[in-house]
Amino acid sequence: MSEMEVPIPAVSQPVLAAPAPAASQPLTPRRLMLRRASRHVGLIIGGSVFLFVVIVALFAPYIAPYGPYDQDAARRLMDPIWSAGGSWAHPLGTDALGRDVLSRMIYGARISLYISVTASLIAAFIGTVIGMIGGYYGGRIDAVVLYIINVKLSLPIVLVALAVISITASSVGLLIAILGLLTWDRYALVTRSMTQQMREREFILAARGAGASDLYIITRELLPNLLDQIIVLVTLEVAILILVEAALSFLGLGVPPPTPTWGSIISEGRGMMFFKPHMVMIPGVAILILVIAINLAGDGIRDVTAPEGRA
Amino acid sequence: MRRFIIHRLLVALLVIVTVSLVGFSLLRLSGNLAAVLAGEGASPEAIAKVAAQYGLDRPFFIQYLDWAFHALQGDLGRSLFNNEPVADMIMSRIGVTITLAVCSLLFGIVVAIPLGVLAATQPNSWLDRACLSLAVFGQAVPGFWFGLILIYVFGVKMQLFPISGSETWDSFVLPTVCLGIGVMPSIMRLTRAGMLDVLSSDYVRTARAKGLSQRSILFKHALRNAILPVVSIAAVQLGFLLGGSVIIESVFALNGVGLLAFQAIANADFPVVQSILIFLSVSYVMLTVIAELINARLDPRIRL
Repeated sequence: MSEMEVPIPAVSQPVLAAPAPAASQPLTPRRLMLRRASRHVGLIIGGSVFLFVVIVALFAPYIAPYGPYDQDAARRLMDPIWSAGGSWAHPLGTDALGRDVLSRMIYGARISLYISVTASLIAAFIGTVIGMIGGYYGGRIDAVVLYIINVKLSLPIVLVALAVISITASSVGLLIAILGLLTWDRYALVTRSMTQQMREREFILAARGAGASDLYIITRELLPNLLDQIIVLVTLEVAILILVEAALSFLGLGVPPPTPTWGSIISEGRGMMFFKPHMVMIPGVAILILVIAINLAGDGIRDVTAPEGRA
Repeated sequence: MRRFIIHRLLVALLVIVTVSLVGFSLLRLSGNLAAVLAGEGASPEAIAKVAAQYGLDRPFFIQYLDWAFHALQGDLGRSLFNNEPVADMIMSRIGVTITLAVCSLLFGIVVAIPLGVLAATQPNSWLDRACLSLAVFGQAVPGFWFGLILIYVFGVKMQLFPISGSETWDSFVLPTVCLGIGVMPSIMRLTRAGMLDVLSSDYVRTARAKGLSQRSILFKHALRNAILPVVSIAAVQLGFLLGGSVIIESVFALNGVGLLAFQAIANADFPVVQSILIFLSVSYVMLTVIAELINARLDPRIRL
């Protein structure tokens, strides 16, 4: 490694002033983090799988061999490549309408990721705002915040989503809004307690003493210190939302057909499960692998950014 | 202690009132209920007639107060689908849902606590990794899909268990496994972390020095203290399980409240949907209060 490193911008996090090692490689917090990341097997495996799915989803039109709605009436219910009747023309076989399962899986990844990532960003925004306000101001404001969180926690997510979707016509945008509005509680709980712990720390008192406004302290002093935690939560919530979206689509009240999602592909294959089990196995295993990968990546990010909290 | 209990109950009451208001307004705000009930392509006159028939043309708050007044007397209205009293419909099915939720919770606990203890005795061993892998699987597997796989393997191929219905005890086996596997990871992680903590404490070292057997140390001395947080999470999980039964009951055609909710949604039977929604929320609030009170009893520091 060269000695002429570009100076790394100081991290706003109040790092415990450890005596700087006089070695040739100064161990800045960021370099320590990268070093831990490069040795974290779970993060590397989970992150790679997740990245792979994201790339496939982004470039779906270029990667998928067929369109998601292309029907080939002559080739219906073909077996995947590993069974006797499989062919490379349709590696994962075709469904009851003669649509290519691989292509539908690829386009399905696109919808599932789009919904879960956008919804968890919305939830992260709502939850962080609510949680930080409660944690920062305390007292009565905090009591109100806790009460709102309690009300939210007591609503059964799947049932509320199903009920609302059944009345309004279902669409991708609506699904994102509902899921975003129903899953902000964890962000609120975590940011609230972290803000509480941090609000009496010296750097906040200093900012207050220097005449900074509450808004400035919350957005410029507190938020950067919560960002690592929020990123970890977003990752883990994306995994949960993928499962919720799949369940809603499976029950027929998620993304409206014929748009493919992994949940709706399972639902379509359910009727044929007993003689074509791969129709249910393929999308289910895909969901399982993706969710495990995202969980591994999320846990990895937590280990790397906050090693002291490692279990 | 009494002040603590009264305060907690008051807050819970406030949350219950709010939740009932939210549940009541959700269906009314998310679309024109009268139009949904009148059916597609109904004329404005027909919609107005339906609205008048169900009292939907009254001011929102009057509708709520009217509903709440009757609900407090145990009258949740009648189903639009078969005109049965909603309270009776829920009551006749709640047993199935509670059985499923309690069995799943017990299944989760019975699997998770011994594995969590085992994992904590040998951290970072292959045993620990195997337990962790099981937890990772339980956290990531889509419940409805796992249900289908269980039906295929144990119901159809091996014909060990019935794949639908709720008439006999063995029809609960597959749904219990399916729902319980989702509860298991958090309990296992909590047990493992708690045990790791306790096993390095002084009194465990003293117990070791006294020459007590490993089993006596683990289960008599350590587990009792490590398990405190598990007690409180178990009650909260029970609330989640009641709410999560919608999906699993639909997959296994278990005739509980979850399946009822799903069918009511399909039939646009809004008095039933709204009642179940509020019923499940209120159960959740009560369970969390009970968990808090148990915790306060076990750990006096919380009461302060």
